[in-house]
Amino acid sequence: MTNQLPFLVVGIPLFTALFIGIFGLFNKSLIRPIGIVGILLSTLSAIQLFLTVTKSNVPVEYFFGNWKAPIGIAYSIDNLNALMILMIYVVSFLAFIYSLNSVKLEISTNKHVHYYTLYFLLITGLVGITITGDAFNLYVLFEICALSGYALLAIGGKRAYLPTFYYLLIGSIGACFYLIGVAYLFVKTGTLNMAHLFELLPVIYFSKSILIGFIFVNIGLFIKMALFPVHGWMPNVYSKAPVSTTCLMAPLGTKLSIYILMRFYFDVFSTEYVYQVLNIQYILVWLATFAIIAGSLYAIYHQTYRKIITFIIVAEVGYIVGGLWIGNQDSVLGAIYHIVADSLMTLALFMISGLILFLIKKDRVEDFKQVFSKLPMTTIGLIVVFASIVGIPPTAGFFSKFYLIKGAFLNGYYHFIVALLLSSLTSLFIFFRFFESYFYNKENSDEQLQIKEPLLMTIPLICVAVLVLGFGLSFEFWHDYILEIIPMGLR
Amino acid sequence: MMHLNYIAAIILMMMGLWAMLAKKNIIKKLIGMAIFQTGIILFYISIGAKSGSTIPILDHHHLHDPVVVANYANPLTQILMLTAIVVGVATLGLGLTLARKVYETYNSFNEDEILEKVKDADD
Repeated sequence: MTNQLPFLVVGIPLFTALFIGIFGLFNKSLIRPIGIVGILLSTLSAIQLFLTVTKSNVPVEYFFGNWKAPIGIAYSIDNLNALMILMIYVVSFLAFIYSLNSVKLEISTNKHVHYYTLYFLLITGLVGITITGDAFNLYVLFEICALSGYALLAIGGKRAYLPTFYYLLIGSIGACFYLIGVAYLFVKTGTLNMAHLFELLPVIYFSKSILIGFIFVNIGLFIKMALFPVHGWMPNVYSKAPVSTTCLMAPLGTKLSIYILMRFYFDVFSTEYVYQVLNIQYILVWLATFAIIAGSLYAIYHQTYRKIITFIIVAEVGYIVGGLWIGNQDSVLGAIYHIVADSLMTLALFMISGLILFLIKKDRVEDFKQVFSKLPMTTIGLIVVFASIVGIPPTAGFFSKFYLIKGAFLNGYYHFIVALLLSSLTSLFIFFRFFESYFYNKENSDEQLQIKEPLLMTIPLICVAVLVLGFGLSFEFWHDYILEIIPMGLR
Repeated sequence: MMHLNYIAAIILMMMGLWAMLAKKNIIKKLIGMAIFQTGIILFYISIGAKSGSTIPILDHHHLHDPVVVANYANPLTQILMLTAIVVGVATLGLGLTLARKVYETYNSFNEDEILEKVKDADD
């Protein structure tokens, strides 16, 4: 059983999608039970996979149809993937529990079958792009992920159609650029397997084709991860789409694109090529710095909660990518740690946005008075998450920021440190703006209407808040764990 | 004239990209996307071709003869593009559906008019 685990983490959500699609059409009451069983089984297999990989300490390889690597498609799981897969399943498990209630509130009943089918296809795609060891297979799974994502976003109704249409155009440009990049690598080496590419590339480091391939893969992934100059698609999409979808997509979609960038840097192009042969980190760290500053400024400028949190994500993408490009042990450790920490924080932020939207029915900053006075659990979640985004010690956000700053300091990227601190301050400022509305908007009509927070939505939120705290408190374990992931060239 | 195929593919890609970015009609944007993807597909197919080679299928009369690789086109790129075509069709279909929904909502295919209506709706 354990040697089939790499397949199971991808296969279970795929077949769950299939079963929901078939049985849900005939009997609507079956959708939720099948979904719960599917997500539970796949989460358990992800945990089992994580334990197996960490125990054995050698990458687990899985060959489809027993066709060995350069010919067949291989799945390979090392410590980095195992962490990402665990993260995907923790996030999607909690997002699924949350969606059990929120989907009822925002999507009409006859669409639930289609919604959950696509929901599980999206999970399949997300896990697939993380686990695969083949550059072209990655493109296909990217598109599975993106296509089901477009449909899930557009289901939000009239206001979501146009932003999703733009997202589709920009997203397919991104995927196509990635595909061109892979074509250049394929022409030069004749292989698509990542491990094989890693072996073949060092001989032709100075070939122009490899450089062009590198640039195309990078630009494609930048578009997918919404790095600052090409982030335009994200804020509109995520602020108009249904909350149940954004709870799954916002924490995972952008973060996994960064993970793929990391995989390409470490395991395809190799750190030697990226950091020594090309030697372009200096420009790219500036780009990340601009991303952080722009994201933070936009977040201050906007007035609605969902717009604010999407721009916070833009800034967070800058953190992680900047940490990756600074390229020493501490900054990369901070970046990898921050991928997980940030996906938990983003999940919590979007869960809160849902609670506010469904219960208060407004999401402008002035209306936050009612959030603090009527939704106690949401308030707890909001405080913990913002503590983490600002970077207050026992939370996860503190440790990632600490290591990013340490790494930047060691390599002399002082502007990056300034941007990080500025971004912390702006998050603090945003949080105080929420708070301010509680203290200064007293004259508002104080109707005694008591709102009850639905348990199915608060429990996942509290779980995420606990995880954000727990992930920070268990930092020593993760420090040692991530240290083993970092390739030799960067230590 | 050595790399005519690459030049053709790049011209197609640039045409598609231009249409996606600059055209005001949202259906034309989708047509641009299809051209862009076709450019990439042709690029892949052309890198698998060799002069004087045939389709990569073994003739059953010559099954036991030694296979001369140079006589056959590289099948891998064609298989990859088969998948990419399927992906492209799905993307185009979804894009057209969304375009139709946008048209139903705003009663226009013109981007400027739609954005104006979106602005009015937001205010």
